[in-house]
Amino acid sequence: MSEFLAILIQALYTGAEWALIAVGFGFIARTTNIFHLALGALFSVGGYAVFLLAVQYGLPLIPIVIVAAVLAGLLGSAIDRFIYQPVTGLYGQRKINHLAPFVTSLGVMIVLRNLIQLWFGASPIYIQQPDFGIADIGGAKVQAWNLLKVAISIAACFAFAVWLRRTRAGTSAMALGQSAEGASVIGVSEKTVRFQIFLATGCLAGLGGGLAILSHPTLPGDGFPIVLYGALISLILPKAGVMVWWLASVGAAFIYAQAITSIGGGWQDTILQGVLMLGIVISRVVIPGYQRYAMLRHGARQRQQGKDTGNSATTAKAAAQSDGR
Amino acid sequence: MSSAQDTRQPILETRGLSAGYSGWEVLRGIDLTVWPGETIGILGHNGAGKSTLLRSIAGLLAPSKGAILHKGEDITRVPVPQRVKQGIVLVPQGRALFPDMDVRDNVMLGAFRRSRHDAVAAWDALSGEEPFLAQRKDAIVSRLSGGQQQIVANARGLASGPDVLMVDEPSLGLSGVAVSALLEFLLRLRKNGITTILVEQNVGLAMNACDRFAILKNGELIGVYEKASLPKEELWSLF
Repeated sequence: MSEFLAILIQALYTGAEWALIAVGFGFIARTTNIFHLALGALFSVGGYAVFLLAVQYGLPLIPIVIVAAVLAGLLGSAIDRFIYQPVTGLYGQRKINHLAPFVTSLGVMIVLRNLIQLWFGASPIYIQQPDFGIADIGGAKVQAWNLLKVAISIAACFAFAVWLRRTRAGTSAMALGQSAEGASVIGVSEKTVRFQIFLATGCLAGLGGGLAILSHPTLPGDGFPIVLYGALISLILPKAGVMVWWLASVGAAFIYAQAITSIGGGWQDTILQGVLMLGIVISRVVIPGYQRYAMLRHGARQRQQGKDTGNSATTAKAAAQSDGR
Repeated sequence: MSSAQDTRQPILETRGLSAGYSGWEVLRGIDLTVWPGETIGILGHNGAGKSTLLRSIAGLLAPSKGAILHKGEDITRVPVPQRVKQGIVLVPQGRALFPDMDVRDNVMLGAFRRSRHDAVAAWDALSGEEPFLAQRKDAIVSRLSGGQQQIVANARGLASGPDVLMVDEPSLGLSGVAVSALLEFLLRLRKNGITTILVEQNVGLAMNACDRFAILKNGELIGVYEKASLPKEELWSLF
């Protein structure tokens, strides 16, 4: 297997986990303007819930992952209802300080991470990877479990996208994201919508954590860098669709894996964050700046053309007058 | 107000309604009665409380005192989604459309509190009545002109199946042609018997569209007049 293919496959495995946070983060940022950093902690809650239920109670893995995802989702909704909403207010009583919810979400993430650490300790935990055998893709031998993980991640994000597009609840969430006032006047209940989107995105993050712990050793703070990547991706592509965010997460994981291979461990976080920040500068400064420049140039060209046409019309008129004379 | 109207039940009433923002009272003790099928204009200076009145009736702003009655039923504490379901619909100032959605989605979202079947029926009816909607159904709303956006906002309001449609400053920033189209829309509402409360700065438009006028000054209702009896000096002093 070529090195490029190996890195790409690794990026798919990692990106599949990251995407489950990035998609939720991007959507919450778009609909509620909250930087829901606590999603990083919900990722860990999902992972550690799977660990607890599998190792302590010996329950079967697939139902456990589902239960863990739902638990993380419910916790996400509770965080919004009892922590974010009193800080941000709902439409009509919105509090204008944008820094407060950001700091609150950071605080919630730290508290949850520390609680997990107190309960389970600071050492990495790991569950034996489910054995689904080895799959052969174009000569490359890969763990079937990892392929299944990627498929689950794609399916979950796709289901989320369908929920947004095709259901009443999803449509109302999209509406809320575009205009809180507009959503309010058509009768959307912001409280209900927020419950649903924090539940759905929490479930995605919890699922990501559950899949992660079944794939590699996990620490209580693992969700934090991932949620940070998700934040940066959503800032680069604020209006992108769910599956674009999924692909962007895999792209970010590819840069991460490439950095490990090319430079060695230890620098991958810095390199990835640097690349993502460069992406923000390009998408928020360079591209809009170029668009403004192109528009001004187009306007100037049109004015010049108008002037030229005007001049030639004047000349033609003068010539016609002189002929008439 | 004619005596014929007195015998009917008002469709909407406010009794001693006071409301404001952050402890600052903008509206003070408003007693207003709206009759079924009429178009009533709310006039007043900037800051007189016109939009605040509409937002209170729509439920977007909780009143500090007083009551709002819809067909005799107290709805003061009824949440917005329920009010929309009851037919109290606001087309807000600035339109508050969904900018990245197309025209059809915007209009159909107006029927959010109704069944899917009703939403489709509302779209069919509205796009049949207003050819622009059918022609530009796939256009992204943020790329439309102000006048076109106002048509979409009005249609979205109508898609809710309103009992009382409140339209807040619809002519703001519109061209003369768009204002004419808006007047046609308002006259159509009156013809179709839809009760309308119009907040408007354009006196000509308001005079042509409304049956009665309520005049607000510094948050207080200073008078309600039939169109014919509206004192002109009172009107001009407002603008």
